[in-house]
This record gives sequence, structure tokens and C-alpha cells, in this order.
Amino acid sequence: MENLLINKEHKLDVSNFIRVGDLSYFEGPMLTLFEDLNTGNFYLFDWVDRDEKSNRWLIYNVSPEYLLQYLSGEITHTTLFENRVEKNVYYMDIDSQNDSFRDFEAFELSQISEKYLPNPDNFFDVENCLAFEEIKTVLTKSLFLAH
Amino acid sequence: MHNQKLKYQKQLVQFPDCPGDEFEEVEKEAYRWVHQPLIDKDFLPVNIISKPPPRMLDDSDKMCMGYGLSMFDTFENALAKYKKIFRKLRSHQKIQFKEDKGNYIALLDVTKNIGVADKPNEKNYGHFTFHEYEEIDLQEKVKDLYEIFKENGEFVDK
Repeated sequence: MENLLINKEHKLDVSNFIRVGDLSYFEGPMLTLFEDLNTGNFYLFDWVDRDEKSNRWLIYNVSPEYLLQYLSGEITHTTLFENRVEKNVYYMDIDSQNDSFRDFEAFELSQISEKYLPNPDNFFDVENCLAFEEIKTVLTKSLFLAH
Repeated sequence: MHNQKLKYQKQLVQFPDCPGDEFEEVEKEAYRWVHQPLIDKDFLPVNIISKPPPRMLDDSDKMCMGYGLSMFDTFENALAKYKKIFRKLRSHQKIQFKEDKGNYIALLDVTKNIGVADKPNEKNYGHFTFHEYEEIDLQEKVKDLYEIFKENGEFVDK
């Protein structure tokens, strides 16, 4: 896997994250939406790499507005990523020894490898999303409550 | 109903109704992504393969179907699903995908005495899950292998 430049002093607290649903799934999650119960913020776990021991995820904060645009096919994954709420991007390496993402730490990346940027022409594909309606409902409700 | 012991019975018992009642013995041709030459990993379920580890975020990813084998009802469907996933991956993940899944499609002769399958999902490229019986070696059921990529790296035309 790619060597990362990380900021070990800046961790993301994922202890109160709940899984909303998988935006992309094949033989396991590939792009999964979480909500932070402490803040109501939404985070994507974006699978970007793997080696023999671990799977690597980028974690970033996305707005429900942009997520809904992504789900409706109006914007690409790249646009969603570029318009994330906070510029900070975190990563997490999850090995096969533990049961939950909560057992692992998410550190901030000082620099994002170009290899890990989403493909520029990737649009949301509902065929890979098993919980489309549930995800949309959570996002719509969140927007409604915010206004 | 099937009475024979499934290969990963020990793992399957941790899930309720696994595999479900819809799984039955079938007799048909099936298609699965593999390497050429075939390797042992080609017929191991994703949750059994430890290198690389299965993609899991929490316990909810430990599903019954993770202990079965993904298959497709036609060559065209197997190829279309491969293309669909492959094209969305980042460049280095494309290489990893070929390493993990192979770049060939095997035609398998599935007979009633080798395992159980659910119905092909028409909304998911005819994908179905196959749970083989203990003592079955699926490599012996491979009748033919078809390339997924041309020599120039593009997908085959079919």
C-alpha cells in the first residue's frame, strides 16, 4: 500500500458513528455513509487500497446537499469529494483481526495521494446500492431538520 | 431440501437461516471469475480468504453469502458485472482486482450433487450465490476458460 504522510496529532473520533448504508457494495462495502451522532455530520468511508493484512479507507465529511446531488446523478464522486465540508481527510487501515471500525484509529492525512482521488468520471450507480431509499430518507430528513 | 453437509457449515451455523430455503440443488452451466491457470483461491469464498482480508466495517458485513461463491448465469452477465466494477476502480485498484479476481471467466458444470444455489438475480446481472458440499472440488467442474481482456488490455467484445 501507499506510504502516507499523516498527522498523528489529529485524530477523528469515530466512536459515535452509526452506519447509514452502503452507497456502493460488491462482496463487501466499497463506499459507505456514516452519521456522527455527536454532530449530525455525515462521513464517507471510501475504500481506496488493500494489502495482505488490511483494507484502507479514506474518511471525509460530506454535506447532505451534495450527497443528494450525487445520489441523483447530478454530480460525480470527484465533485462530491472536492466539495467536502472540511478539507481534512482521514484514513483508517482495518485488518481482519477486529470486528468493527471502532477498534481502529483514523488519522488525518497531511497530503492525499493522487492515487487515492476518485475517478473523475464516476457517477453514483444505484445498482450497487442496496439501501438507496433508506439513505435518501436519512439525508432528506437531515436537510429538513437543518432548515 | 438438501441433506449433505456444506463445505463451510462450521461458519454458516452462526447465521440464522443460512443458506435460506430458496437455496436448492440445481443443474446448469454457471460462470465465475477466475485466474488462468486456476488457483485455489478461485474457489474460496471472500470471507474465507485472509490475504487480502475481506472488506468489512463492522459485524453486519459478516454475512451468510460471504461464505458462498459468486456466480453468474451467463458469460455475458459475468463479463458485464466485471466491467461495471472494474471501470469504477482507481488505477491501482484495477491491478489489485485482477490479482484478486483473475482475468478469466470459467464455465462450470454445476450438477445437483455438488451444492446449492439461489436463483439468479435479474437485477444484478444474473448473479447467484453457490454453497458447495463438503469434499467437492469445483476446479474439477471447470469445462472451459474465457478471457476477459484482449491482448491490448481492452475488454473482449462479447
